[in-house]
Amino acid sequence: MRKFIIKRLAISVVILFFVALIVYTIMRCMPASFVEKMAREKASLPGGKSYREWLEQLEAAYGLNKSIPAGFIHWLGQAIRGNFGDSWAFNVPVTEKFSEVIWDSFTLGAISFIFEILIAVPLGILAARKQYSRTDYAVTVFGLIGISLPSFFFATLLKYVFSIKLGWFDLFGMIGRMYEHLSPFGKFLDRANHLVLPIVTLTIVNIGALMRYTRTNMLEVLNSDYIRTARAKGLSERRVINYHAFRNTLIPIVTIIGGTLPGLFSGAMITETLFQIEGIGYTAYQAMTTGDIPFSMFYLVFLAMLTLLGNLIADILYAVVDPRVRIN
Amino acid sequence: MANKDKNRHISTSTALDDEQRVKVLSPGMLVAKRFFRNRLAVAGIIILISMFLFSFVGGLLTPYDETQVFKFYDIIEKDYAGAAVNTEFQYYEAEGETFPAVAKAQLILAINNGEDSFVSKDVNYSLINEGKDFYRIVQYQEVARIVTKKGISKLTPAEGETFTSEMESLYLKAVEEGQDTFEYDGTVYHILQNGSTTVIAKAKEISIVSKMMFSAYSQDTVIDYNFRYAAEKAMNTGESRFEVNGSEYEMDLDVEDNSAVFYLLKDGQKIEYALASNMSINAVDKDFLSIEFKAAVLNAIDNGDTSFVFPDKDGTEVEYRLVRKNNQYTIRKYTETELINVYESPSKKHLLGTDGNGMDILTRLMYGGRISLMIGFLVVIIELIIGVILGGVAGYFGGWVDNLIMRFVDIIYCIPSLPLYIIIGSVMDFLRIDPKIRIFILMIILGLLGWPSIARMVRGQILSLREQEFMTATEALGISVRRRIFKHLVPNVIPQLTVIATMDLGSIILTEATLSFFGLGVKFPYASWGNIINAVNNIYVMTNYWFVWIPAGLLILITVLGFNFVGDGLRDAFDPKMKR
Repeated sequence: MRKFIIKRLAISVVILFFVALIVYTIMRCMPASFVEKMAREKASLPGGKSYREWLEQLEAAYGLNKSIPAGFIHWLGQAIRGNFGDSWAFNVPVTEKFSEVIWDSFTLGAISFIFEILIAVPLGILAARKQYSRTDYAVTVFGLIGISLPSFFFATLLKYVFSIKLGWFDLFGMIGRMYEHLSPFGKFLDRANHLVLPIVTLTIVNIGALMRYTRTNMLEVLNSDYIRTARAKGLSERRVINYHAFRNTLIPIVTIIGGTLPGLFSGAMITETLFQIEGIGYTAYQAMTTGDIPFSMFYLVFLAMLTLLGNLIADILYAVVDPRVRIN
Repeated sequence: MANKDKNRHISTSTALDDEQRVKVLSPGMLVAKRFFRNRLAVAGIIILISMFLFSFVGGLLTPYDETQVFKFYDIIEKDYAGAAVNTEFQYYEAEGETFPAVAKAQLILAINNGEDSFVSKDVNYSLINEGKDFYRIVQYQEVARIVTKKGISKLTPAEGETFTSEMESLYLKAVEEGQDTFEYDGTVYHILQNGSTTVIAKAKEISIVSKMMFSAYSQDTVIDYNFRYAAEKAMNTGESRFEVNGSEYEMDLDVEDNSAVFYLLKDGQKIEYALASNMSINAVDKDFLSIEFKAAVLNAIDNGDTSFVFPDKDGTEVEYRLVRKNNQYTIRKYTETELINVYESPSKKHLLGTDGNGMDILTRLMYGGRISLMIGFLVVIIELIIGVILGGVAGYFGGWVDNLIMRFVDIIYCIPSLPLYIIIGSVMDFLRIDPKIRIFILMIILGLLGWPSIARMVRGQILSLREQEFMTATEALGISVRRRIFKHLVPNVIPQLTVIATMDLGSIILTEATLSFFGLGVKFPYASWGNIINAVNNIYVMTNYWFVWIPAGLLILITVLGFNFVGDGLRDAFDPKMKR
């Protein structure tokens, strides 16, 4: 098991190295005029560093004066030490901005993830148990609508109905206008109020995949021999489903859920941007559209890292949960 | 019961006739049968067919163009002209001379301090007060200098100048008469006393400075420097006749208003020539305002009227409204103007109304569908080509080739595509890439980053397929490797490929719509469902014009749903384990 984990880790590190190399190369291939213009624009803002300072810092961080391979090694050396340079858009070190916004993203992601599991798994199981019934169709259609819904459209629709027509929630932001005058509990409620629509959006949009996955796996389990045996033994349907079938369905589900965990840190770029939740996704979106190269570079590598971590966790969990894998 | 009947039937018949033959369907027919039994899949197919008809045929049938802007005429009150009491000095430069802005500022200072000369940028300017708020700016050029010492005057001509004795006598005469100018040979010489030194100088005219505004009666009259000078001088002295540039003019002065009308006297006739007033009246657009119109405006202002009537070119009376704000007057009139038909509610003419650019939304949706579907298909084709080739090779050869290719797949899989495209999109914004080229770049990037899942699936399938007997047979028959992969292995993956490609089409359309929604994908003038919804970034549009964004959003939803229904149906149909 340890050997397996170490091998997977080593492969992940190699992959991350190459992903970083590709991302770095793409960044280096940007037209120089773009970089210079962005630096100049940043310099013209009040309170910012001077143009020369920005360029110098960029050169120091990215080795722009070196060739691509040499520059990459230089950048990698800096990055490993946690030095990703100063963000152009926010005027603070990239890592500082990151630690400032990451937890809001995580809160949003984690809450909607919990809702997702609570809704998707039971519905998926229900659909599988009554395959081709009316319920199954309804759940399937619901899941597919979730998958097919453009999140920006759904978020706008929610805003239109609940913010504009009904006036229950604010259109944007994380806190209300009166936030500073509220009691601690009131502040909490205010924040929660502002998270309702984003959470609904994220949950509905992401629910489909997990639901379909649960349904497929439950169907597979229900068609297997040991379930037939269990039924033949005369076990009650409840015990067959809840005890024998459900436990076996959990194997792939736990694996996939484990694999999604790192993704909670990646931020929901579209939803956060639409609701202007100051999370990593919205921050990264602002950085990327304004040509903030240090932050964009960091974000891309960070996302790649999360994907790899997700795969790694899924693989390991698979081996942990299912003893059959370990033998092979 | 039924079973019993069947058994009896078989037992009675021994001949192998048509009635007895077991109906066997080809595998393809079986799949089709299973597929069409799935109601969702059928719904998906219907959705997709109608979407294709809507986008590709609808675009041909619609009477409008993708970027046709709808306009209409309306009568609205628009600013026609502005009038203001001129409190600023106006500069009218002599021909060929320039009076720089810095010097203008120095001049104002000199006027306020009551000085009669000032220096600006090493140039010595003198100002001659010709009347109230009326100055002439000249630059003296020394002709001669007279130094008087102990009663003896000594005259020295300036370098390059000649001072004739005739001029000297004229100078002496002028001094005797107490005048400070004398004229010789058409040039006016100025006598400038400065202590014991007297300088005789020629004046170079630089500019006239006054608060009067001149306007000509006819459009092609050019009011020149000399006329302006003479006219203003006449206004100050009150002389009603003067001669300038070889023509004679008569002035009709209105002292109360501080305005005057000048007539050109020609062959004993009085021709209206120009109007001078301290009101400046200008048209908003570069129209020529006739002097009668200006006179009418001045008259209305004098009488304190809020509106007046003045005939236009064709002689019809037009009512003008006069709006006063401090010293500013605005003259407004109703004009027929071409307006763009923005955010028109759905009507018979525009079934879904018009958008913020005055274009028909239904038509834009049709063309947008074309682009969205086309991008979807092309991207899937790119993904399939790369995915099948790499996946097929990896699966067939296994070993280090497989390892290498799969690590490459892992790398590509890890590159976050949406953020990367956002970055590239904003760089393209900066470079002002042509919208058409943008679409191609968008497709290529989506294609280049989207294939790993296909490659993984193909590889996995082929890995298990190549161990089967029919592959041993192909090897025994000596079929080439390329044929073995692409003729015998890949066709066996086609069912899964179809499913994955169908599902992928939906997700690519979603990605494209998302990018276009953020203004980074398909750009105006091209329509795409995503960039039509983009209008909701303006809260006002979102609140008031549902018809702009809801139909586009529903179209995306329905189309992607259609692809997912069909993909789902295909997966079930291809999977023999999924018995129905």
